[in-house]
Amino acid sequence: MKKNVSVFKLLTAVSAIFLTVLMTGCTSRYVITTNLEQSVPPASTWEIGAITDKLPEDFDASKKPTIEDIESFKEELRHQLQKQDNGESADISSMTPAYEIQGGILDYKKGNGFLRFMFGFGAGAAKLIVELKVVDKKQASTVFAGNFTGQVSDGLESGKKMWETVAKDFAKAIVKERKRLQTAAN
Amino acid sequence: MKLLNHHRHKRLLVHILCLVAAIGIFVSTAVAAKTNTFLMLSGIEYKNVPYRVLSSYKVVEITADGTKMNLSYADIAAIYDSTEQDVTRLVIGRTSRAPQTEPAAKDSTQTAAKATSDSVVAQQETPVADSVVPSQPAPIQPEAKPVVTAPQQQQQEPWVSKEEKSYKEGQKSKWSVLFSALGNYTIPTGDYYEGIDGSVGFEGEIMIPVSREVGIGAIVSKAGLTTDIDGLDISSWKYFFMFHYLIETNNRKNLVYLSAGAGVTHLSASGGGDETNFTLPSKVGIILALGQTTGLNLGAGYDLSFVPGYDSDGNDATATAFELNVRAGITFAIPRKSK
Repeated sequence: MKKNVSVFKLLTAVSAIFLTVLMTGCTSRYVITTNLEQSVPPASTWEIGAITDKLPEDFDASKKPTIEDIESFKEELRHQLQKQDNGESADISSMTPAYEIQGGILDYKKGNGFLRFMFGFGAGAAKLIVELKVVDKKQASTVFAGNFTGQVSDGLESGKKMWETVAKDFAKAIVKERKRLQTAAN
Repeated sequence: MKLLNHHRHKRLLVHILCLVAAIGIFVSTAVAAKTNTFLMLSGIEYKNVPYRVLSSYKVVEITADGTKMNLSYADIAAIYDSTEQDVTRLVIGRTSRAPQTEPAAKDSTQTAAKATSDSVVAQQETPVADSVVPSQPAPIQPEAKPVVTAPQQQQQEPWVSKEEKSYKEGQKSKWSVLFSALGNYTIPTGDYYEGIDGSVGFEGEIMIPVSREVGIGAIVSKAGLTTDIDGLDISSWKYFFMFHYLIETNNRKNLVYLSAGAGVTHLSASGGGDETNFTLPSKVGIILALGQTTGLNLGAGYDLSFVPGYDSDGNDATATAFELNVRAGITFAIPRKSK
């Protein structure tokens, strides 16, 4: 009897661990493709470069993001990077940007707010996958890169939220990488 | 006691099944790693490395010399299997680069040249793992070793502004005119149509999209109305002018319409007597593409007629008559001539 109970508990624990491991692998919103391996100046000094079209070639042109979407995304990136810098860069106007952020839209689905609100369950969901890179302009090399995803499936949220999510995740990923570097140096 | 034991065994079985399923998923993910050769746009080549496709990130996770690395789809020039066949499309699907119509046998010089032409060569060296074999330099720049991809992104942003987009694609409909031949079933409702039952009728419609989202049109319809009274037949003809709100769906193949209009309904009885009433019709439906210029038109509508009359005191007592109808038929569309 007792033996059976302990078997149950053991099996439950092992199943839970397996499922947690599997689920953890699925929850991150981004994947880093190039780790930051050198110290970089505050992100707010970086230039925001081109966000290019890397969508599949047969992607419907009318369903691509607009220049307004891209411009507001760049603004959001700037805003989030400044926010994460937390006043680290006192005078950025005097600095010549040595680093540039470049991006490419790999996947995009504008979604439909009405469908999200009325039906939910994935109907009208908006989706975005962006490749973002930090490029050392002098060396012409990529010092950090990753693919970032954003998704909106909640009917009460605007499609713009996914752009914000990507920008926020990118800024946070930079901070995380810089902390990792600092820890490694210490 | 026996029942209790049975219950415990059942629970144990469920736990075991769950565990087996979890292990199964884990093992299939881990073991399913095949090996392929990845040629990057930078010219770096990862030979026969196990990989896992993370399509939700557009990333391929490879293991080179025990180190896991993530390769963005956008940085991969080509993927080759053990027989050196190009399997890029099979592994990562559609990409933003020009497709190869059929898998080509690997030619390292060619692919290296392609990688080099796509990227700008930089001077900096990148640490290369043992299993990473830099591909041969392109003939046009034999002294340079393609390493870094960064400046290749320095292209013009191709995005179209909202205004330009609506001007280019929003102003013009795909069709110049659509003709529909439909059958309908009318259900008369309310006091005015008491004793009158619905039946099958037919109708013809012309729809002229004036823009991608707005159209005008006309409907001539014969509604089927029957009575229980022997020898009494009712004929109902409708003539409507319609405004349409159009929504193109499924890559502009299907057309959803939300319509409202105004017109008249002419009722006549076989025993003599007729009347013509002002009617406000509304319709909703979809034209599902069957071919290039034909579609299946499915819709429903609601017609509200105003029947003028006076009560015994001579006061206005205009009655309202309601009809619900469903319709289905074929639509023939004439495409707009492109300039």
